[in-house]
Amino acid sequence: MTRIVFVIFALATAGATYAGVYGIGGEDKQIAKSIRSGSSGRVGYIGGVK
Amino acid sequence: MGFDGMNCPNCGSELPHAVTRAKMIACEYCESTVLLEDDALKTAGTKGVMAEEPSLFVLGRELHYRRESFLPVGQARFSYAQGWWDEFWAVDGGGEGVWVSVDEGEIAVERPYEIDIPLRPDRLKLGATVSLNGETFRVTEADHATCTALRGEFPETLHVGQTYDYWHLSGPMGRLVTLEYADGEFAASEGVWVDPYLIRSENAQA
Amino acid sequence: MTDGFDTNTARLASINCTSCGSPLPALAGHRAKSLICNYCGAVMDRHDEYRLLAQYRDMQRPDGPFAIGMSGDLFGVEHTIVGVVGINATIEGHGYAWTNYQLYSPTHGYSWMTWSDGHLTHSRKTRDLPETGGNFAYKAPLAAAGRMFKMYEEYVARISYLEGELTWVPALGDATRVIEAIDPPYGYAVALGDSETEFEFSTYLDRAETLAAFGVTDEFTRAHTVHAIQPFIPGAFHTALAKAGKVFAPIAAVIALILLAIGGGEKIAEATIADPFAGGSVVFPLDSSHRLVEVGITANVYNSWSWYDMELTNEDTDETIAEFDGGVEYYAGRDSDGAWTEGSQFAAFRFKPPAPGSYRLSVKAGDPKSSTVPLKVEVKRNVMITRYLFMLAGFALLMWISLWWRGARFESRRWGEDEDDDD
Repeated sequence: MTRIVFVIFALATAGATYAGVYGIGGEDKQIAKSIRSGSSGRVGYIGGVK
Repeated sequence: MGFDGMNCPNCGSELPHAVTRAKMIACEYCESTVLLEDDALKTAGTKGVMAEEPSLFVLGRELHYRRESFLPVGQARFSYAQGWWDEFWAVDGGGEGVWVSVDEGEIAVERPYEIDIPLRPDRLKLGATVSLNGETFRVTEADHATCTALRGEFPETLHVGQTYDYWHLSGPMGRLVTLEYADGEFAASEGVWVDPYLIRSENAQA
Repeated sequence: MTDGFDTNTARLASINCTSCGSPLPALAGHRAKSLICNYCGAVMDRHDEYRLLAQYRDMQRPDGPFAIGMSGDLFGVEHTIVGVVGINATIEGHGYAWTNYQLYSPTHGYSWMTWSDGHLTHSRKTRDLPETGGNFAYKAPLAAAGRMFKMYEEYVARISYLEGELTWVPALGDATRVIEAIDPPYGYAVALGDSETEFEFSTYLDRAETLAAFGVTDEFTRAHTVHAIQPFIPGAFHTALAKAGKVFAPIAAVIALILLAIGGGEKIAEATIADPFAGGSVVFPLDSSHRLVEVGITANVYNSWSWYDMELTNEDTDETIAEFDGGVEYYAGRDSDGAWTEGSQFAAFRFKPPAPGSYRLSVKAGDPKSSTVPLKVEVKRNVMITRYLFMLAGFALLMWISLWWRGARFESRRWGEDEDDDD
């Protein structure tokens, strides 16, 4: 049991490090959506203004 | 002593002889006990009937207790008013012979104890206090026992049917001194209690 | 010989009560001194031809899973239940009752198994006397039997029930003062009787395993208290999580801090746009489509706001990649609670380019009411994020702490220090 949990934690640490270095999930959703849709229009409120 | 290749003077079978200090051996094949005196072998008596009982101590099987080890080589059974107990003659880790008394899980390793004062059997009544070597003991058991059976090797001569008077003296901090009286002489030993639950054996049947 | 336990005599399977004639099992060895009839309460002397010594009628057999005659394996040794003794005690004003079963083994002699509130323990007489002593203060240390115990409690135990074969001649109502010290799963007790003081070494028994060993189906109320010598045994999964948590919480935190230190990104372009309504742009090369890019906009707005339209174009193809907007707002003031601020003069926009190449970001005020203060645009690449590692470190720490917490709660219940557990 301990070995399995250690392996899971090791994988999680490796995964979190990878995701951190490559900024996975760090993009602003609106920009990512605009990039995907090929620059169509405004994407709404982002940044500091609520 | 030169007892290599000894044979029972009664039946001619080879006698097992593991301990050089042994003075008596019970023949495995016949009813005899054999005395080892100088270079002569002499039939001493009969070895009696040893009923098989469950025991932590088995002849020839080494036991470990805390940092000590014991190899039982002789087993003498005594009967007393309430039942019976076994005295095992065993060789400890240092090669010394010790007696181990075993009575329904009450186990004590006994080593010789020097008494500094003369004792009188008639003074050793149950409940009496006795001062030995500066310590005060109380007589907690006073009884007599009869040797009923013998197996293996012994450092002294024992006879089936022989009766001994014995006393258990309990001292402070669980100290135990046993006195035996036979043929007008006292023999004393100091016992150290052994916790049976801490005895380890390679292939314990218990 | 006064009884039938001679070397050469077969053991008696039963004996008839010398008072009422009922057949009673004879299972113990010769050192058991008394026999108590469960039909008529006669106490007989086994060492004196079962002579009647006393009689206690109408005793109520206490609760418990075992009966005389049952056998089972404890510590690899076959033990047979030969006697039952009910005990009552008052501890700190509360009444308690438990059941002691006299056990017999031909090789290990006489010992006890105790059933107390659904817990099972084994106790045996020990000659390992306390090496330290005299101080019976709560939680004071007591060295004995090669262990360091802690003083637990002191009480007077009174016999409320007797049955079967016992190693001494008891009397109903006999009282013994007991001092208990613990080192779970072991206990050490000093029992001060009228004539002698005995020392006992106890071991907590696994209930399911022990009941199964004695062939008893467990249909008894589960233990709802923590026993004095019950070990804290968390589940294997929680133990594993806590162990891993202890190792990985610092590892994840250290990596997170490293990423925090080096992951701010590398500045690759910077521009100041004096007039946001005129707009401006900044050009920067991006060599990876897998790394995060951060555009930071700083404008010293004060009690005002700025709103910008932004456009990202590929310099090589002149193609618009994305259009987005965003801004900053910052307000400050003072009220009855003191100074306050709201918002930020900085806004960040993060994205990943669709492909490596040269990019241009154009920024222009996007609302006529927007502030006119100049703005600074800063572009960083290879920006890292630490939230996953901090979350992992937090989770690992929680796993580690939760086990410690459960253990601490268990200990406080053991010592009766838990206010929620007022049984």
